[in-house]
Amino acid sequence: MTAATRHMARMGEAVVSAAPGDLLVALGLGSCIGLALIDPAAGVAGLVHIVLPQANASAATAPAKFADTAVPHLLQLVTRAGAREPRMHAVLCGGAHMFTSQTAGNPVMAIGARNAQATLDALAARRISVRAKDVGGTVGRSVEVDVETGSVAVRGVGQQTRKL
Amino acid sequence: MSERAYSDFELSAIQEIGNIGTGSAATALSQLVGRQIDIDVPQLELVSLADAADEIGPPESEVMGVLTPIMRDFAAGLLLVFPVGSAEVLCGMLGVDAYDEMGRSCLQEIGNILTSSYGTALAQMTGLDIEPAPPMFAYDMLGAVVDAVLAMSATSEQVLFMKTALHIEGQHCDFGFLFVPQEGAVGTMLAALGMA
Repeated sequence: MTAATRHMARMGEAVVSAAPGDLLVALGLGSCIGLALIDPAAGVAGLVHIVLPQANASAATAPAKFADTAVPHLLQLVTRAGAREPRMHAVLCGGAHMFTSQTAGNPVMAIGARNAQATLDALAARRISVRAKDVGGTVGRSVEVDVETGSVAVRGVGQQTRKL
Repeated sequence: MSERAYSDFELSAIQEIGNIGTGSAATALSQLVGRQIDIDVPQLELVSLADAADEIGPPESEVMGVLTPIMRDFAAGLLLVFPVGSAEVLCGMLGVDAYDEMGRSCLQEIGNILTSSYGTALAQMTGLDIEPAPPMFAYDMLGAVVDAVLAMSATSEQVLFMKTALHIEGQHCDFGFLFVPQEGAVGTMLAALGMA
C-alpha cells in the first residue's frame, strides 16, 4: 500500500487520481477556476486549474489552461482513469474579482466572471451536471478534493472551510 | 515545446529597462520614507504559467497587493506584493494602520509613486507614450492576488515578467515588485528600441 498523495494542480495544470486517500489540491485561486470532475462510484476524481475562458493558439499544448478546452481535456483524463460520464458530476470554485478600484471596465477585472461562465457553458455542452459551485465574490480560494469520498473542501483567507 | 520567443539580446534589453526603471522607482520611495532603499538585482523570468506563481512566493501566504496597469502604446501591469508584516511596517513608518482604509490608500499611493517613476523611466528610454491607470488593491492569498495579472500575460506558453525585491534600510520591510508585460508589449518595447 502506497501512502496517500497530494496532487497539486498549479495554474494551467490538471491532475487526476483513482487512489483512495489521495487529495487533489489547487491553492490560491483568484480569478482562476478550480474545476473538479468526480465519479464517486468509481472512486475517480480530477481537478483542473483554469486560467482563461477561451482557447488561443497555445491550447494544443496547454489544454488545461482554457475553460473551453479544459473541460474535454479533464473529461478524457478521468475517463481513462475509470470514471464513467453518466455518473460524473462537477464541482467548481474560484472566479473571484480580486482587485478593487474606482475604474470599471479594466479587462483584469472581468476575467473571474468570464472564467466561471465559460466553464459552466463548457460543462453544459457536455451535459455534465454541476453538483455544487462556489464562484465569484472578492475573496481568493483554496480547494481540496478527496478522491475516495468525492467531497470538496473550499476555504478563503480568514474563512471557515466549506464542504461542497 | 515551441521555439523560444525572445533572443538573449532581446531579453537583456528588457532586463536593462527593468534595472533603470526599478532604480528610479526606488529613489522615489526613498524620498517618501526618508530612508535608503536596497534593491535586489531585477530578475527576468521566462517560465511556464504553472511555475510563475511559485517564482513569486508561496501561493497561500497572505499578502497585500497593489496593481497599477500601464496603458496607451502597450499594456503591462506593475504589481507590488507586500507580505502583511512588511505592509504593517511600511504603513507604520507613514503613521497609518495597514488594515484600515488609510492603510489601503497609503499602499495604493506607494504603488502610484513607484509606477509613475518606473513608467517615466520606461517612456524616456523607449520614447513610447504610456500612462498608469489608478492603482487597485487586494488583500488575500498570494496566488489569488497574482493569478489575474499573470493570466493577462499568459497568452503564449510562457509568461515573461521581471521581479525584484525592495528593502527599506534598518526596517523589517521587504516587498516584491513585478513588471508583467501583456501580450504584444515586449515586441512594442523592442521595436521602440530599434531591436525588432
